[in-house]
Order: sequence, then C-alpha cells, then structure tokens
Amino acid sequence: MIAVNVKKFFTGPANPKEANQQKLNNENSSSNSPELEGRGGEELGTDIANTLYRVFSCENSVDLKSLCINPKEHCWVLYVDVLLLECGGNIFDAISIAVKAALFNTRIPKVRVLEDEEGTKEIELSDDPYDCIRLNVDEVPCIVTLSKIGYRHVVDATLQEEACSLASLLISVTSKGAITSMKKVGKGSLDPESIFEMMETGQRVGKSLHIALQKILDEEESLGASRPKSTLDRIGAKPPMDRKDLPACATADEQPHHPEK
Amino acid sequence: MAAVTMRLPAVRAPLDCRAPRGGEKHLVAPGDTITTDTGYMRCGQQRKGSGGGGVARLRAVLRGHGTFVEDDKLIASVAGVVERVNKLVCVRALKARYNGEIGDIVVGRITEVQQKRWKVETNSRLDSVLLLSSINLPGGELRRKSAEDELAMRDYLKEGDLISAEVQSIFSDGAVSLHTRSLKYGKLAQGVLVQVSPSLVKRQKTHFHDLPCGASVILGNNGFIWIYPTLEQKDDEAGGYTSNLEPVPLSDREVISRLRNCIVALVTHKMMLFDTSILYCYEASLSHQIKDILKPEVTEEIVLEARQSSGCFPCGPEQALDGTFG
Repeated sequence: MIAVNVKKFFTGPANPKEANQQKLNNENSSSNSPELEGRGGEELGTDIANTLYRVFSCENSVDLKSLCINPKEHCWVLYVDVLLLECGGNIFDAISIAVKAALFNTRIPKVRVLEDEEGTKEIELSDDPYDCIRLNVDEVPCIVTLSKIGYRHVVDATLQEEACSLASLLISVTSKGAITSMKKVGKGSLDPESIFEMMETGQRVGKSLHIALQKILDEEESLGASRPKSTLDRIGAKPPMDRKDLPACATADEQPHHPEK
Repeated sequence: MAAVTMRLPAVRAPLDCRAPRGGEKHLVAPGDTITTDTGYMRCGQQRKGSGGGGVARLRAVLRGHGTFVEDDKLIASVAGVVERVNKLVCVRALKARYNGEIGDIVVGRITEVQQKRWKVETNSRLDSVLLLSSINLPGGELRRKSAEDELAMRDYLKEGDLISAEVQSIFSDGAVSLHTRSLKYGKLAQGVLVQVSPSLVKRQKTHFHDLPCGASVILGNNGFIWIYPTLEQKDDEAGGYTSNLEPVPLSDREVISRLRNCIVALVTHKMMLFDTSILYCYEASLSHQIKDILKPEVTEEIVLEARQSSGCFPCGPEQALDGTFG
C-alpha cells in the first residue's frame, strides 16, 4: 500500500539551468516491518529513489516544458513523495503505478507573472480553483519486475515468491512498449538469453499494465465529485503548510500561498 | 496473453455472519466491559467495634490474562473470547501467537541446529525445541543417541527444513518441546505451506487428512498448513526422513494450487479450517479458474456457496468480531 503526494513549488530564477525539474523523495513507514523502523528503511528508500530517478531520466517521460511559466524565469518544480505503508512484494511496480496515477491526478493552477512599473513582479492566480493544467502522462513509464524462479520467470511476485527468487530484472516500459531503463537486482546471475525473454515478457506485460491503468484512471476521472472519499480525505490529512506550496489536488477551501519574491 | 486487472479502492463489505454452532461465545474487543461485579464479597460475621478484627473478604472475580480493572469494572484489553473457570475470568485473544498444548500437531521450520537439539519456528512466542532424543532415526531404529549422532544432526535436519511434529511438553517459560516419535511425523518433502492465524484451525481428532480430490493436507494447530501430493504407498521403513524429490505431475500441482487458494479464500473470510470446510470450498471453486479464486468477488461467492452446501458450518469467532466493527 503506497501513498504518493505530488507537491508543486514555485521557484524563481535562482537556478535557471535547473528550471523545469522534478524531484523525488521517499519515506518508509515503520508499520511495514520492524526492520524498516528508524534507520533501517534508509537503504530501501535510497534504492527506490535512485530507481525512480533512473526511470524518469528519459527526457520524454514527463513533459517538463508544460511546467514552465516564464522561460528562464519561473517554473514549477514537482516534488514527488512516496510513503510505503505496507509491503506485499513487488514494491517497485506498485510505486511506479502510484507515481503515474498521482501525476495524472495533479492539477497545476494557471499563474501569470505581471511586472509592475517599479519592476516588482506580481504573481496572479486565477480565481477559479478548477482552472488548472494537467500533466500529460502518456509517456510516463511503469516498472515491471520479472523475478527468476528456477528456470522460468514470474511477474508481480508476492513476498514468498520473491524469497524464492535469486535474481530479478526491473524494466521500465512506456505505454507504447518502449523500454526506458533496466536494472538487475539480486545476488543470482541471469543468462543473456533469459534476459531477452524477460525483456519481451516485460514489454508485453507493460503494455497491458498501461492500458488497464489508463482505463481505471479515466473511470475515476469520470466519477468526478461522486468518487468515494478515501480515508486520507476523511481524516483531513493535509501536507505541512510551512513549505508554502500547493497540494496536488487543489481543494476549494484552501488558500494558496505564494513564496515571497 | 498478459491479463492485468485493476480496480478502484472500495470499502470491503463484511460477510454475513450467523451465530456459530456450539453455543454463544462471549466476544469482547479491547475496552469492552466484561463484568461490573468486581467488588469484594463479605463472608463471616461482622463485629462492630472489634478494632481491626478482620472480616474475611473474598473477591468476586479473579482477573486473568487479557483483563484489567478500571473504575470498578473489569475491562478486556485484547479482542477475543471470554473464558470463565469458577472465579477466574480471562480473555483468550484471537489474533495471538500459538500457545502450545500437549498433544497438538504442529508444522514448523528448523531455524537453528544446536548441541543435542534443534530450534523450530512455530509461530509461537518462543522458538520451539526439538530434542535429539525425541526424534526417530532414519530407518526407524530406536537406540540411545551417541556422540556420533550429535555430530551428524545436520544430516537429519538442517536449517530451513520443514517438519511435522507433536507437542511433547511445555517448558516453564512457555517454550514448547516437540517430538517426532511416530512414523507419521518427520521431515516434509514437496508441497505448499500456508500460514494462517492459529485460532482458525479447528481442533479435531486427527489433523492429517487425505482429501479425495487428490492431495493431502496437514492442519497444524499453530496455523501452519501443509498441502502435499498424496503418497502412493506408505513407506513404513522410511522413518520419515527420506525426501521424495520426484517431479510432481501437473494434475497434482493444479489440485494443490487450487486447495491453497481455497484455504486463502476461507482465511480472508475468517472461516474455521477443517477438512470438510476445505473440501466444500474446493468443490465450490471447481467452476472457476485457479487464479480467479483470489479475486474478492469470486472469493465471496465460493465461501458463501461452501457455507450453504454444508449447512451453516461454524465461522470463526474472528468473523463475528469483524461483523461488529466492519
């Protein structure tokens, strides 16, 4: 069970070269297992973060140009926080699906930066809270993990199946079937021929995964306001406001904050 | 063809629970009041002005495990069944580790090989102990174990092996001592292990069942269930240590997978596990593909059908608790 939060941060021209960015961070909840409590989960956390960086390193995955407000001046930076609540095997796949779903769900408000006579810049947010831009997630890849057990490989392994597997291959596949990155994990070895087989299976499974995910996301989108509220909505979980950034799903009652320029 | 199914999150509806057979069980959840009668009972005559002459006082209720007193009320601290023995009131937790009782059959995994004994993991609070003097040697020979036997312990059972054993005795700290002094116990070869909560395994006369569908099952009291292909002939001389590592035919594997999924389906709905319940569930699942049994709607359908076809076989007390708070 994974919770993903996408926060947008409005940044100034401090780093014009680093404009249009996406930063990834993740955390492990200690309710997973005792080994992940405290400092134990750090290794897994950095592992997940590095894998996600590699997956999204392809330029086309997320359309970063849409995050630009004023070229070379202002842009949106997306922070993706992943919280691992329960681990039932195959976490990388689940995390990548959750990240894609969160990016699909992200609504970025339309802002305009106006310049006064004295040269001070004013940020203007449109009054309508539903006036926002959405990200195009067609090219966002999903990770498919193929675990080698014996002489064959399985997809979507449970915890017990992962314990039996000595080597796994993580492949990130886009909806068109293009492989953007590949990573081998585990202490066992993989035959080059089995790697080719696994890649083919991964492409096939990845394409079906994207189709199923898009269908569900469109279904949820069509439910609109009548979609069943999740537990997080009910308990009113909100991101900490001291970072002065806007939450992913802008709700009508929240006042947007802007950083001081 | 790769088949991927996804669904939106939905609240899980609790399955309709009828009263379990075997009388009413007093179920409590943490914080529930068990009884308000915790005051002292007076016995003997009262003497006024006796200046300290005691009046014998008897407590109406003795507090056992799983309870505590607050504001003159006896409150449960765990979710479970209230058990009363004369004045002792205790709450037996439902989701607890396995508490060994003498004569129970358990399935366990060897975790350590020590001097003259093995440590076995049985889902209890402490690792169970299998003494070297409590096993049958291969070949069925009965003799006093010597120093060579001690050095050759790893040849009989090493770390990671699964065994079926019976509880011989319980140490004072609660650790369970096992024995495999019968030909039906011993090392387990090929099969599938399913780990469930110990309270879901019904106590029966025998826990080794040869199901007519083509597989056999060992229902360990500690919640470890072992499903394996039925042995063609009983090897009496084997002594329980020879591992049959021949490849298992596909039809047997399918039966075992189906049984495993049926058991997982029953456990999801907190039904008691015994040979008849597993068999009815298996028969109800024959119309579906093995991999579909784990889908929520198919699970519900199979479990309901199994309950109906067998009359109302008892659902575990956990299910009644689920219904109260689900």
